[in-house]
Amino acid sequence: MSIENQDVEIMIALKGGDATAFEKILKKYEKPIINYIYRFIGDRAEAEDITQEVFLRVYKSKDSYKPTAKFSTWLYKIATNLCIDYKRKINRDAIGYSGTELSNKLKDTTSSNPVESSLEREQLEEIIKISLSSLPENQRIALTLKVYENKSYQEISEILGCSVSAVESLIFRARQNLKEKLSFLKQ
Amino acid sequence: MSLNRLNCEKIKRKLSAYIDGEINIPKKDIISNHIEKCHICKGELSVLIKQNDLLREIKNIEPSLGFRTGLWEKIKEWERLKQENEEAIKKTRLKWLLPVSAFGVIAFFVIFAFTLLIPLAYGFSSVKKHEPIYFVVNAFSSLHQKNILAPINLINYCNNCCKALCKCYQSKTNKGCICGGCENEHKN
Repeated sequence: MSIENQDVEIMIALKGGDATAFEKILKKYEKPIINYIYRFIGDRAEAEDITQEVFLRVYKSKDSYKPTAKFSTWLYKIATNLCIDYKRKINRDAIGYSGTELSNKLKDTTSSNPVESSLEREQLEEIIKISLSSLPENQRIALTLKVYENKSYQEISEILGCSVSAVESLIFRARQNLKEKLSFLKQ
Repeated sequence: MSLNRLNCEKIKRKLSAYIDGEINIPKKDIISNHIEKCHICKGELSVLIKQNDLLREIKNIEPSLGFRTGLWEKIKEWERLKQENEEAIKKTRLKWLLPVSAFGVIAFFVIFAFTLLIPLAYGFSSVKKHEPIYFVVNAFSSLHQKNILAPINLINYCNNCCKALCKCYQSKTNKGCICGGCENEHKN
């Protein structure tokens, strides 16, 4: 049985009242989803809250669930929509950083220790997070889904509701933007 | 346009999809051949691969200990609210069920009684013994069957009443139609 069929079977079992089925879904997807949201939001507590909301929505729709789309695609679509809603709600999307603000922020991160070959891991993580968060929303989602979740362009297009060629373009532009932002690391 | 004829700039645009394994085999071979020969595109590819590795430097986080407990609390809370809502809906339905059905029954009997009594009001009861039944059957005939509550049924009912009354009048007085509807029926 394929992984996708297993997920559908689990959802059907959940629909039928099997209490352990939801635990199976949690076991399989809680970590990937929480990390996906964390990379998008950047706040651990908020990421956990949103992840809980994602699984609550899955639980709520157990009775009306129809396996029309791939289960994981559906799950990531819920997570993506909640992340976008959250970002819009708090209105502090990193897209709002101007070029100068971002370079100042990056400078702050790297000023304590100049960038050397032995750059602290935490510092490096912080720089990557800031650079990622400065990408436009759709570019960030597409790149995160590809790099961290290893989703195909087809799946990303279903999650974002756009064409495969649009996804290709989004990821290409995201990488070009990141290349500029992270170029100083080569120094 | 074939990728063979593309310049470096166009190959560079495909490198992102190339490292993601999203290029079909013929195009992949063309790009691979080009990269072998072109040091600029080779350099660009290496930058993209390094960037990917760098992005993967972000560590994964683990859900906190209270994550599942919090989730199950939210689920229980939702189930409690759902149950409360269902009970409230049930109560509302039960609350209205008796008055609405009572009103329906009363309305039906009022209309039925009115239909029975209306020929008497016009003094047509003595014509035939079966007159009241004949009247009721005629008054309720040709109603819209699919939707008994349709407003057209009230109009049909009034028309039928008039026609039935007219027929009573005709049989009692041996005169012609006075409502106009019976004449139309004969013509048709």
